[in-house]
Amino acid sequence: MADNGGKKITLKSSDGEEFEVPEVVAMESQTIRHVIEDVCAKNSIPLLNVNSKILSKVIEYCKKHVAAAEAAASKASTEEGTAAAASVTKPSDEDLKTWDAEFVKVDKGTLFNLILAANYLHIPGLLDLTCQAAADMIKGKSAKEIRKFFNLKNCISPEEEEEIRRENQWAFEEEKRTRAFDAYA
Amino acid sequence: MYSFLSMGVQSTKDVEIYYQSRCFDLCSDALEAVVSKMPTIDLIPASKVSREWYLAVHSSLRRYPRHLPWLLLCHYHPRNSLNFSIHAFDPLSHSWLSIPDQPSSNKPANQVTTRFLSGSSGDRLHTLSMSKMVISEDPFGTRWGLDSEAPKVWRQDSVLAEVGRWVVVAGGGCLVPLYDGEEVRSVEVYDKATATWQLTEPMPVQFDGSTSATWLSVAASNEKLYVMERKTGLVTWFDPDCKKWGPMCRLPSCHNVSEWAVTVGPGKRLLVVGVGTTIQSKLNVRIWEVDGENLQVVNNKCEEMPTEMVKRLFLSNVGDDDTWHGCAVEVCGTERGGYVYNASEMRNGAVFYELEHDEKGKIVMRWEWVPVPERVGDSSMAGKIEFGCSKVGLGDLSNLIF
Repeated sequence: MADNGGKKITLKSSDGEEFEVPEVVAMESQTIRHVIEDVCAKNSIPLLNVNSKILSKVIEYCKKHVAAAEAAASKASTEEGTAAAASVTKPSDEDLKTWDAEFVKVDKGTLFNLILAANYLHIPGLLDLTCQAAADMIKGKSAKEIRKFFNLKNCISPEEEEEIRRENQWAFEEEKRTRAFDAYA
Repeated sequence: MYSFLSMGVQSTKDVEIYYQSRCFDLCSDALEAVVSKMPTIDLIPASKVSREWYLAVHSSLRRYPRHLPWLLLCHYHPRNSLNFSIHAFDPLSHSWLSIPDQPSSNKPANQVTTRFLSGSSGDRLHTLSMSKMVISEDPFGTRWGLDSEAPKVWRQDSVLAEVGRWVVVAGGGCLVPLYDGEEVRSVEVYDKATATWQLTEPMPVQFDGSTSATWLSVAASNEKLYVMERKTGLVTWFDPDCKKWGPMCRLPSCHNVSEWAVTVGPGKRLLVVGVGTTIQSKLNVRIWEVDGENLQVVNNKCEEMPTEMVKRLFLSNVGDDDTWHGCAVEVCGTERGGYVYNASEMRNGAVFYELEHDEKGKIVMRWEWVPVPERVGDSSMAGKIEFGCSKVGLGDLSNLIF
């Protein structure tokens, strides 16, 4: 990865740890990109909502994806003909997918914190990846099992449960009405 | 200076407590992002978890509506069609759902016709006997709404379709001797609003000899019923509102198409699919967009299904001499997408296509292979398969009892 001469930026986690990263890696986060471009940042950006453990994982993701994109771009420009380049980028796409799959093999606490960080820092690729991993974990679970999985305070009262059931019913009736309306339109 | 980054958090201590708390409360944005990745069937329990989850599910569906139609599969024993099972394929999660037999208060007692009825809101299970016609309201046969007397002319293997508030019965072969005025080509229209049948203008005479559903491919939009002769590409429409048949049109057959099929397309257009062989004996499956009113091909555009998928679809049609024979194609779909399959061997699988949203370029955005569920596809298992296609909403899924 082109490390030489690239501008560096310092990210400071909520618990005070500092991470120096190339600017291009930090810019994977759209939030940080806006700070750098619009606010004319100093060299250090404090991220009050992300602790060091999570921030280091996020930086690891951004570094990997920036490197992969650079490698693909340089291969495309040196290979003769786009057909050859396309067939060359395929294996590295697979490698990246494998890396991503390994990256999200973490405990659910870390996964949820990664989702929150990706959401807050606006890193679309990381948000997609982590949300998909979370969705996969709760596939096939009942409402009760989902509550347990998220350790949600189990004080959902029978009244609230009934209210939600009624509202869902209303939403489904509305869906049917709209479909019937389409038929008559 | 960076207050907009702090999201209202008071101090570092609060953040620490936030992370150490055992309760994994995702903010609504993040929750919605997770919900958007969940298979549609899982949204039912998800919407019942809590108020936040309920809001996230419905907000996600408003933002990213799940329009793509599901592939319905009816697997039945040819000698006992009361014994059938329904499976449904969700194109978003790429997985099959097996629907167990649903208890239903007004489920018809006599056998359900296993071929799906084409409908403008989706294909439906139905039963048609000499005395009654009953049509399911939903894709899975959990609610049997329309229950009416049968059409006046009794026919076998007729075209039966739901077109908006009408049900149209056309053609068919007749085993019972007909009275004067009842022709094989006769058409009857049922008005759901008044619950009455009306005899109308018969099918055009050009369809004589091929009025049975076996020879025809059918599509139903909200306004019209489209009927296409599979072998010749002859196509026309019927408007149940003004009870009239439209222009007759034959699709240009210079493309060596051996069989045709039709379904609804985007806007008020149709999608026409044709399977045929090129001069070099290569099998191909092509798709055209046709205007729903004048039945002319739009923009002279024609697209081909990827060769690999064509080969898989027609695997069973390759002869010993490596030539193709008897390839029959059928298609079912909505304005968002649909499924193309081998009408003579459904077990081979189907090909899902998603249509482009914008007007400018291609017809098909992407093609995807859909294998049938293992149990069903096993050729040693007795039973036949019929395909149908329908939009499936949360309401339809929420009624299912597993």
